[in-house]
Amino acid sequence: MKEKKIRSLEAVHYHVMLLPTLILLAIFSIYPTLGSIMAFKYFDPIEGIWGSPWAGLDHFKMLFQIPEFKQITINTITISLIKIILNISCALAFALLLHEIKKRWFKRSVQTIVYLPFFLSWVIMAGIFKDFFSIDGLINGIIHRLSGGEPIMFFNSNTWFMIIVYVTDVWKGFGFNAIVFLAALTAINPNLYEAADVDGASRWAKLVNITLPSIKGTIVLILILSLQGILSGGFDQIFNLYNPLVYQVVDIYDTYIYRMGFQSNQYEFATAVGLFRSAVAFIFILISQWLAKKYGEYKVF
Amino acid sequence: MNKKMKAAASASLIAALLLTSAACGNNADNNNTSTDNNASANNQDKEQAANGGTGDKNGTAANAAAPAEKPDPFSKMTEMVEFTTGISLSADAKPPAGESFENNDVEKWFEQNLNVKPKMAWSTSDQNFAFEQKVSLLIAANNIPDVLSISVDPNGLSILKKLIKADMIEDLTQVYADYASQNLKDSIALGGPDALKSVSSDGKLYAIPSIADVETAIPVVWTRKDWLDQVGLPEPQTLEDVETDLKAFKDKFGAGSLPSQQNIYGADTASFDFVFGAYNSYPGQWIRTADGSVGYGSVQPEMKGALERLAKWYKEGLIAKDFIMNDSNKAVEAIAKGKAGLFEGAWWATWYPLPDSVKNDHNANWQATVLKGVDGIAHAKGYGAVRSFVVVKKGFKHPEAIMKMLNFAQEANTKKLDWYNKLTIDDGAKYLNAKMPLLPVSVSAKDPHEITVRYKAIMDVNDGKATMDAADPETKVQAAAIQNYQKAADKFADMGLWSLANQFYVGAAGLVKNPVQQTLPAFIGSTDLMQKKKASMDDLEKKTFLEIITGKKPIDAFDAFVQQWNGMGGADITKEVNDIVGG
Repeated sequence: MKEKKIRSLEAVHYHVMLLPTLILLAIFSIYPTLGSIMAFKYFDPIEGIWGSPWAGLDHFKMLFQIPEFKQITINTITISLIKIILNISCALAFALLLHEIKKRWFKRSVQTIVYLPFFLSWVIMAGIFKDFFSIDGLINGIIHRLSGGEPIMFFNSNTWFMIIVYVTDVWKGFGFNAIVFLAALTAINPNLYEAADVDGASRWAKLVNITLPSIKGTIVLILILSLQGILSGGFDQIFNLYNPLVYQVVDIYDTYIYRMGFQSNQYEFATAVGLFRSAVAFIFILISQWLAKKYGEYKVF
Repeated sequence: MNKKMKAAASASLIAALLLTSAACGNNADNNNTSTDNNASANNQDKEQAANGGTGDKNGTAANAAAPAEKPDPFSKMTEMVEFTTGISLSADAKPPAGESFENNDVEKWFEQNLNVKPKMAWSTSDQNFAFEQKVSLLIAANNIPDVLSISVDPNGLSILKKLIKADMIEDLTQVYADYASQNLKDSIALGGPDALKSVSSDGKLYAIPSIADVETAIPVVWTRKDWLDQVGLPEPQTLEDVETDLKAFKDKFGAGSLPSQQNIYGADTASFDFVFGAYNSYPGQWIRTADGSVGYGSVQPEMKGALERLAKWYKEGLIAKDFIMNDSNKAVEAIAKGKAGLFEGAWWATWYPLPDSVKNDHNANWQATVLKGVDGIAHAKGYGAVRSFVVVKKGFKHPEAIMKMLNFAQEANTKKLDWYNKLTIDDGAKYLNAKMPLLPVSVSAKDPHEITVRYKAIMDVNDGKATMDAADPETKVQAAAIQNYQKAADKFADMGLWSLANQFYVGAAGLVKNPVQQTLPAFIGSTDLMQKKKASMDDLEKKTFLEIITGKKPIDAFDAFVQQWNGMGGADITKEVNDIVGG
């Protein structure tokens, strides 16, 4: 009994450290969620969200009448999944390669350089990329020099646009994940490798049998973390890069919500789309919970 | 959309008719009321305006002593009235050093002479509808500033409907009746009964409208005459001529594409309105269709020809391949760089975007014209009766103070305030090149055929057929500008003067050269269903049109779009609109 009490006292500082996060979560995530009720109302700004008259399922009915809605759902899920897979696999491959390098200064500087883009805002990056890939931009200039071919309309073409979306997303994000992987790699007990060397294991064998199993938990953790953000990710990037010509392949829930809610003032309708998005996201979180249980030592709940 | 420039242009345009008097008020249709018909009822208003309000002499005392007496539209407020407002600012606004929207000579005048002081609650960019978005967000947050000046394009009347429904703005019926000056009332009357009706609800007036000068809506094609001469071509008359000219410019000057932008219609610079007009199609507007009912312009069969033509131009490289990435500022860069010899602009393009071109290349000789349509007749879109309006927040204590400012704004607009003219348009005026809003609230009431009427009057003075002294204030200002410009040793030293002089001398001249058949909107408001559904329909429309133009989808996609549009609620909205219009 006494021992138990002491243990909980020892844990108090952890809970205090958690407090700011909980407060932020309450203010910026839980409280605004209550506003989702707007999706069932005819919003009247004077009455406020709570006082506005009920609309029932009107806004949801409209949602299913919109011809593009199915396409937007497909886009959101595909783009999110591909981004997660690319991001994790590139970061992992990069971390493994970098881990093999023994020169500390080189490793450190590469690590810092690839991590840098993570801090840049998409507003700025999109401006730079738009210039790079524009019709008289750097990339088309190079293509013209090398092959003399016609300039490529990167931003009008469904295929090219998606390639730009994925490549720039990976370029911006993989440095961050790579650092987490590198940290996990350094935590592997070197004795394991020494033992393997004694057994005459090849590099590949060491990778498959020691390295990967040792960081499996971290991989799953990162996967889970990305799955949770699956349907909210990508807005900054896509919104700043896209145009109506590529809506068909790149329009996601968030960009559609933005256009309807903020550009066209259909707040209730945009909220309905948002709520629907949350429902889909919830399914993904359940999947991640299942994945976590099955493959990792981590649990979401 | 470049609202700032529009404001600059309207400020230098005139309004209306000196005074149809109170006596003529009942025949507001008669736009040609002679200018010397100054009714005595108006003289008092005018004098007071010119003197900067007579409040200190007798107005205030009289009002305070006997509130039942007719209120004075120009008198000084008894105590200082501050109000907050939000504005959109152009990136190239250049206030004189140390001055701003809140702190400049015009504001100071109002502070001293009217006891009214604006405070800028916020400002937005004038690009990409930033202002409209800001206002919409503030409505949702129930936090609008005391006074707002809102443009009808692209969704002003729908914003107004929201404001009225939410009971957020003052009923101005009484204030307008009591405090609006005769000059303003007469000018608004020129817009016809729709002017007040479109900003009213249940018989109550909720905003003070600015009347459209309908001819400003006509898209003008500007061509470099110096280039045409070099390639030996005449001024373009038809879409075919435009193609020929662009191809010739490409071979000779490497300037083969038409400056264009993502807003393919409705923007007054570098949009494709002139192509739509040539096919007698009016996207985005509710118009009378062939069968007499009201229909939405974007889904009428005439659109198909225009879209097909644009798709052809895109394919042939006559439209910039990346036009979809451009806003109007980006689109007109080519003009300044000497990489475009033909573009669509407004008749007032001498204010925007031409100054940059002429500054960089003094040989650039831009001329204006309106193209003939595919049927040989020049067609163009028109405006609804109202272009913009001013609303006052519910609970604001002194809506009459705002009404008085608007009265002065109208005097300024009709060039009757000497002190204001000195600051803004006279030769060497301090604010001629400032490109920023000086009046905290603006109103402009025009004769719908303002440009034609004014152009004639100015040219009469210019050609010596009429004397300067007999001309009305606005004509005088414009004619003097032309004379000053012609006398100037260095024509390009003062670009403000260049713009002012050439807007009528070249721009209006091109506009009035050939008769233009304008199609005015049959309906400009917003309906309940539109509020709910139009956003997603517009989204689909924009996407489809751009896909057709860039060749991603064949022209047949238009028919599928029309069907989808009707299915999404377009058919119901059309019925709703017809019920309202009574068509």
